Amino acid sequence: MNDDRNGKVATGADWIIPILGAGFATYYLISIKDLDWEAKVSGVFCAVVLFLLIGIFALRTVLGLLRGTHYIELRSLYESHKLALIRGSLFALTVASVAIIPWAGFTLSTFGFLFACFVWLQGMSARNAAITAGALAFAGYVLFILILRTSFPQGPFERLASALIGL
Amino acid sequence: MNLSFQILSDQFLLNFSYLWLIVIATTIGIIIGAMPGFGSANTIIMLLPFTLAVDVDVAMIFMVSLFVASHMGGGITSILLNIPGNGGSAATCLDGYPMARKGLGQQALVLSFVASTVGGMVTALLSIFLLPYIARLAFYMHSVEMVVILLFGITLIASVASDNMLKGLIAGFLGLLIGAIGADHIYSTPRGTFGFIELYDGVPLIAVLIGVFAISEALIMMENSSVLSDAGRQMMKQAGWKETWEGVVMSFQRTWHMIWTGIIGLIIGIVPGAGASIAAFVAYQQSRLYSKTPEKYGTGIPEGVIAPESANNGCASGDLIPLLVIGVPGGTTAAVMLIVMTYHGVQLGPRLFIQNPGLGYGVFITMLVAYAVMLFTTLPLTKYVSKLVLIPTPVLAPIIIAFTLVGAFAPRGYMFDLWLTLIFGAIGYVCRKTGFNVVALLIGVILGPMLEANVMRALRISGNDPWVFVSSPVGNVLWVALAVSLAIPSIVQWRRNRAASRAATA
Repeated sequence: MNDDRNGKVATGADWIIPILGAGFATYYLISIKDLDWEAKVSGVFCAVVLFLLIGIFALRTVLGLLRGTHYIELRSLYESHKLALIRGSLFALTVASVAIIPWAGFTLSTFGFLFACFVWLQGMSARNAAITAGALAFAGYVLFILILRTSFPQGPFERLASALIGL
Repeated sequence: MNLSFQILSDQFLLNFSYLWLIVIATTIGIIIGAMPGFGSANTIIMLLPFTLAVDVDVAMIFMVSLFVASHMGGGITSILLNIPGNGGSAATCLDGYPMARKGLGQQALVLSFVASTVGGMVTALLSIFLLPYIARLAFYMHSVEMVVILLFGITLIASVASDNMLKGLIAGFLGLLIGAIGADHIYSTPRGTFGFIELYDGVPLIAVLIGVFAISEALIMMENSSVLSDAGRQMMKQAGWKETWEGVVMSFQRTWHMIWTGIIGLIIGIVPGAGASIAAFVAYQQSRLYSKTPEKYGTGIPEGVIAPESANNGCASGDLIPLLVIGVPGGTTAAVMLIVMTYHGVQLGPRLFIQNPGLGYGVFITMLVAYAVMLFTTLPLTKYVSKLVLIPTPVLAPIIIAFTLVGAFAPRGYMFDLWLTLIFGAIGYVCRKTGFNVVALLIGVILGPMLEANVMRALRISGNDPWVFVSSPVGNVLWVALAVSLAIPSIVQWRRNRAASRAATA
């Protein structure tokens, strides 16, 4: 990790990617165990090298902790409560907007997502947020649905617009 | 292939008579190119009713203009938002975005546009005059040679991860393993798909691209109220036409750099199946390799923007050469062009240059005219477009997420791809916060499947003989070049250390 304390290296959160990598590599190797060699040679090579690199990483970290050149620090992903709340809200709103797309369609889900973000994250007044989010969602509808014909699930807005303008 | 002054002048006049169409096509192309997930191929498919209805010359002017403009447009969001519009502009993020953060976004955009124009024009000119000779390259580039070319790109993992080599290599090999998800190239058996049928074709590149760049960038940028540093914000607010001119001067101070990286793009583009992403990464890697200050790459230097952008646009010329000369499309857009030309009764291959040389050479004349038009339409816009980074991040981040998610959905139309994008967004965020290089991850995902496909193809053709990789003269030359490329940084470093120790003892 990048944050140093008196020249010491923080470690802890930087284990997430190696653990995910090792987990995925293990699953990958299991998934290809019955295949012909041509189908698994490249995956085996990448997985073995990945395990080797993660092993070196683990060894370096353990030696660093034993020698006192490393210290355990898990806050680098969390940082401050305020920042974690903002970031968590943004990600949660994103997940929610994707989850409602099949029912609400592109335009309404985008409008709802942008409106909530502008009010919650930027502190915009509801009126300004509605105007800005509405204009952006409508522009997105015109560009992506009407012009570029992206096959997003149809929502109430798209169905209404389609019935009114016949496009 | 009878080339005459008469043919060239006729084609120039034809293109100038359709200048209005070129302006429309390049405008559409730049907008499409800047939007992740939307490519020139999809756009041309949507506009097929137009291209099939008009004369083939007009259809080609429209398609070629749109195609080259989409290559140029990809750099805009790479530079301003760290979100590549397409795979070919992913390498531009490495130095383009740091320049924008320093308040040099306007200059970086100009560098990108000028490098694209010079790279595109030089390679189009080379294509016109050396077409018969360049076309032969496609015959010499087989799986073995492609393996070596791809290894050039993959060695960039080590370069971009130089500040923390171990973490960079872990990210790179994780990327390569993610790239190995999907059906294998010989037996089509699924590997590492978690049982999702949507992953049988492999991990969709656009979902990875948007996740690790756009979504994670949006989450990271919430740390500050602005994308820009304080000094950068002041510079950006005061920016005017002077900065555009500065960018032009910066570009032409590096004219040779634009030319040779464009030629790398041209050569890689000629190989059918090799894309702009390989060209851009290889050009960036080569630019860094031969630089006197390789340690400055990634901090926001002009060469880091010029190399991938010039190669990306050089690749556009190269993509069309196999289509015209041997009738084999070099990429998806070229394949769509093939359909349109075939519909119009045009016979591609050597016969094209005997029966209708004007159409064959006209493609490259259109490129020249389109690039010239784009330079005059895009440069004045840099002053205004670069102001995008002044938008407060609580407004900018949700807009980025909302509109890039559309790009993740558009290519395949699966809701699954949206969820995958969010997963890669979270992975990208953790990578960035814990020092794992996301570009190394992306290089692995992009180039890994291509490398595997070519290795397997070479082995299959040779009856699983591993010596096939050193059996071709062109391949062997490339192997030597690769070895030299890998050795040069160590040799340079050793000489520098020796000179420094001598200076210290003197």
